[in-house]
Amino acid sequence: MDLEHFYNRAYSRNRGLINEEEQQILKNTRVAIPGMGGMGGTHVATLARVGIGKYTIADFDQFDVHNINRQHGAMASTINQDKALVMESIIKDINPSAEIKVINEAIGHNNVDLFLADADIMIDALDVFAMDARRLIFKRARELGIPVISIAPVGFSTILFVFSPTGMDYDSFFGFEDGMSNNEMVLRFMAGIAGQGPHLKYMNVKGIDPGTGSAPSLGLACQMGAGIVVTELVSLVLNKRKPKFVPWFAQYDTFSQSYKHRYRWLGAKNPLHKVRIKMIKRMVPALAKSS
Amino acid sequence: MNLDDFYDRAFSRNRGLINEEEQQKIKSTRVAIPGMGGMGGTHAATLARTGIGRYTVADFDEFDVHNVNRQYGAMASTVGKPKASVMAGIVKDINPGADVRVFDVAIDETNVDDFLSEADLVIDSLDIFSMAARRLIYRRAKEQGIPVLFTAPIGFSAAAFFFSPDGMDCDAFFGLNDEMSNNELVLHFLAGIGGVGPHLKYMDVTKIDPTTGGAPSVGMACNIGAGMVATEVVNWVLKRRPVKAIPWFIHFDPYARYYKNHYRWLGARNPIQRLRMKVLRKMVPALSEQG
Repeated sequence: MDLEHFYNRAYSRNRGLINEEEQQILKNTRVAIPGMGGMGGTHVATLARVGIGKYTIADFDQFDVHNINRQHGAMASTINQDKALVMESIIKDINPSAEIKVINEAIGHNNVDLFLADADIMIDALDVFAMDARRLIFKRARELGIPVISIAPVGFSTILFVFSPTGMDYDSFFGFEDGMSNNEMVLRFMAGIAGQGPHLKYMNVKGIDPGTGSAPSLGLACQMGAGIVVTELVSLVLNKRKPKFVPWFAQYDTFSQSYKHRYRWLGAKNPLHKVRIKMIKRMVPALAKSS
Repeated sequence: MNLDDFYDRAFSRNRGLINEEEQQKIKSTRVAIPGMGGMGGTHAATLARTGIGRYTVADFDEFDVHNVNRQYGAMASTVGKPKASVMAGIVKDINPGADVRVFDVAIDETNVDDFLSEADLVIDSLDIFSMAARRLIYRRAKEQGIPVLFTAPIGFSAAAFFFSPDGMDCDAFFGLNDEMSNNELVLHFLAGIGGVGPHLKYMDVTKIDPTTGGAPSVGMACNIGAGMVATEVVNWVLKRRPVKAIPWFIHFDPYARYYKNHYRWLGARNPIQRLRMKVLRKMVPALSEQG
């Protein structure tokens, strides 16, 4: 079976939801995903199953045993292997005709343009604590007119953010400024993502430690998050429905059985949100230390 | 590293959401999953990443190219291989200490008790059209006091159902009886899971064909369904919050931005549900023919 024939059969059951013409658009779409961990790995596997044809993926890290509870590529057989290379081969196994650019190192000023080249859309899947790389990538993506989808697995929930290149930007939404310490940015990032919502009732956030980069997270939330992100991506790429960009965001929590859209007027300058930042500072002792 | 140490490290990042004692309960839980297709495969992988220690999986089928758009184990490298054995291999690669019993055959009267033996819960992942096996498994599970979870990917959405052994049963909820033809059973089943919701506005249900077993479905919805079910499994094992059992059911649609906890009073005898049956009969011509 040649590659084109394989593709057409592999995605034939999308019909009824995605027509043939739309499928060809997905085949020609390039998605850039920095980070092949809990969210990134699950995103690319899910994108491969809907038939996205072009990928640019990046990760400088290797799989470790403690990644197994949530990272798609982490298995006994892949421990110590490069995350980006493992995920490249998984995408290829799902969709052998996929075209994949792999950047096996951290994204910085020297390679951000290479990373974003030809991307139609980006999905942020960087580690929570990788603040510098995240700010850089968001800034360049905006300059290049590339929309960015981001989702955070928080407890038994996921929280979705869609950034339009012409809407509120990343720094304004989270309240970042040049010269801030990394801990202060992580704190504001966490407050921006998870400063409100039903997870605060059942999640123990005291164990969050930016020093070791560890925070509680579940594979089931990553699984769900990838489903939500890919639905959003397909809708955006195919122009199927009107997107709700930041400062809108949406949280679905399977444990508390709730779903809510919120609008954070003024982003991080929202007066109520400023109170939340102070509250998070008290809840997560490791983040309050300036470093 | 021995298997216990591997397990403890692999699932260490669940802490903050699942404590060590709870993790041991999850480790000793056995889930029986009939069907290793779109839902079953994703369930098994998601539960493996949560740390469920014991599995009984069944599927008589082999992977085919047209499974690739949604089935976890379907890849170019596994086409032609038995679904249950492939998924057992994936579960073992995620959690090498897992105890996995494999049935590479269909479940029927001869092996249903063996299949259900020692199961703490069942996750129905059978093909929509396998109504005889489904009814048998639900009936035997109820007799043995085992709850059955079920989730259906419907368009871009997923709906989750929890059948408690002392609550309303599968036949009463879907309105099934011994006299019905398989087409009639499928029609009632489809009306029960997808007769209400926003997917009816965007999904082409004329693509449903019971003779070939083909219905539109996308991988993203399977991801979401697996996240919903894994949350219910964790909650049921750890007894964290009350379960919304049948006739309650949960429906989440990230495309339509819709979430609802439904209560279907009287199950299939609900007067509005009877009307939905009539509508569905007109919408899906292939199903209303006797067969």
